[in-house]
Amino acid sequence: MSARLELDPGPVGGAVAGRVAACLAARVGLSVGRVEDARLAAEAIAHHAGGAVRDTRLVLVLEPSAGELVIRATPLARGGAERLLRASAVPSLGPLVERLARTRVDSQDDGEILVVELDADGPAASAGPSESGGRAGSAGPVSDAAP
Amino acid sequence: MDRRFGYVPVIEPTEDRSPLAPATAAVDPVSGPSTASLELPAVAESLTVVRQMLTGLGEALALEAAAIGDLKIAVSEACANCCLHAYRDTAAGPMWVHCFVRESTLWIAVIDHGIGMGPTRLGEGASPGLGLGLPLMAALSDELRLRAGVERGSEVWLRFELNGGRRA
Repeated sequence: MSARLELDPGPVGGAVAGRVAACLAARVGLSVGRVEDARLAAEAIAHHAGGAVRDTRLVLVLEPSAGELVIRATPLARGGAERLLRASAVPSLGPLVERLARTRVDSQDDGEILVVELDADGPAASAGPSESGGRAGSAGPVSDAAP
Repeated sequence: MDRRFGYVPVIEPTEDRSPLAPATAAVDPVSGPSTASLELPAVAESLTVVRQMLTGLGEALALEAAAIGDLKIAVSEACANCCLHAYRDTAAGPMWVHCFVRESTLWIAVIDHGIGMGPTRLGEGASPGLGLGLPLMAALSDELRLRAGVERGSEVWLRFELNGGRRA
């Protein structure tokens, strides 16, 4: 069951996105720690997307599948995905979303889509270049990934 | 009218428009884009997601726990009606929940593109439930508006005053 969330970026949108993502992450059987990671990642994206979206609105498409939750953030301006990831940085931790999930950037005709993939293992388990040529996180998840 | 038990039994005709289009003051209680909109299939499993969305919204707006509880019950009831009735004879279609924060007012609209409501469907035992859904929504909100037409989908609009409203 996928969900489409359209919102104004900011603290209210962040709180809403975080809750929705956590609920869907719990549905696919992720551990409590990874559910919390999903909440943090979605909240960070929706909170900090103000300078990255092509217009003023952010659309998050959340697609749960077996053991995985994929979040697509769109429509981002060119370079918007990178700006969004940088904006989510936490002092001493670095870019938060990349610490929590695998990320990649897909191109659209007139912009970008930030794809965030959360599974049981976190980004450390699949570090290295991804098939699509996008980025792959190099650090482990913030919380412990239980089996 | 006693706000605890009464509700406005007015059903306005549904407008032809995209459920995700910005609200217009001409036909909607509010105008402009929503603060947040969620599109989900109209199935029972979606209610949990809607409730979590409302919890996040209520916490971000610094609402009291009791107010968030009322919000969740009222909107869940509207969504449950949608899941039960909107796509009764077909595969489950989409359901939209729009939240509009305007100064000290929160409007929530639950919209579907299902079979809609008419006089026959509203009465004469058409509902398998107790028939308390609409009074419950009205009792827990500061205003309830319904918009529907046969085969034209349904819209439930709920207003909540963020500074207490009905509770003050």
